Amino acid sequence: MEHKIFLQLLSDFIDDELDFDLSDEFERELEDEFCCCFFNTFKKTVELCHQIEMQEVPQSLHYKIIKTIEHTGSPKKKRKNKRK
Amino acid sequence: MSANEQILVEKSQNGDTRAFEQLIKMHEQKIYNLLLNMTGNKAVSEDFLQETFLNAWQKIKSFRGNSEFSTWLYRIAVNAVLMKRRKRKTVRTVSMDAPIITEKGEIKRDFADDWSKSPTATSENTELKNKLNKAIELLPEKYKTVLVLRDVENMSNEEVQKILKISLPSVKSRLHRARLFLRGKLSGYFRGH
Repeated sequence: MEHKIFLQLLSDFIDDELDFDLSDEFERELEDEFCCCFFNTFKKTVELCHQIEMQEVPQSLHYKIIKTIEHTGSPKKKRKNKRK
Repeated sequence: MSANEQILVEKSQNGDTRAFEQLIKMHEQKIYNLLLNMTGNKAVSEDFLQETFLNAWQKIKSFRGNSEFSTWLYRIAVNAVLMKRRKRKTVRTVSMDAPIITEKGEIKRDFADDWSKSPTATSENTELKNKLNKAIELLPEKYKTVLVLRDVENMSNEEVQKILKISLPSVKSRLHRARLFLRGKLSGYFRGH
């Protein structure tokens, strides 16, 4: 497998979206040191994104939104299509 | 959409603010974090969160239930950010084509250092966390939105496709390029250590 193809398939492989044959071929490519390094660091990058912590919504903001909604009045009615 | 959520939506469509408050509670944290990751700014995210729910409240009668309520909310939030960015007309040029392939078609050696097993390659590393957040901020909007929804908010490609109304191949291609870009930035960080 060419490195160019290998690079294109990285996301599909870690997202488990490669078919069996291609996945097999991709795994064989991981025996190449550089491909393996690239794959490990690519996978780690995605893992680090998954680990970005969720922030709590500040309570004051939560209440501010609710107050704004209460003072806004009822939702707008659906627009009717004008007929000629 | 769960039966409970559907009832809350119907009540909200009839002007029940209490029901809408329940919907806010159910979704505010995820939307807030999406906005934080898209804007990289707490104060701006707070404004966008308020704008998102106010818009949702005003438009809730037009929600027909063809999609998940959360998908509809995400779309409102993403559109709010993208509209503001378009108005500002600040075009940032960041190259997304990382030169990682040599003329012979091989991966460049200088990119091949394996930092993935380094003890500092952890989300506990504040410096690395900041580097990652900065790299996400640097991404052009269309790549950033897909990456945040997919890899930070852990949505499926199909969910992202519905929110952004783009094709599945576009979702995959943008996600892949964004991931390559981030990997390049993090590799730069580790080369500097």
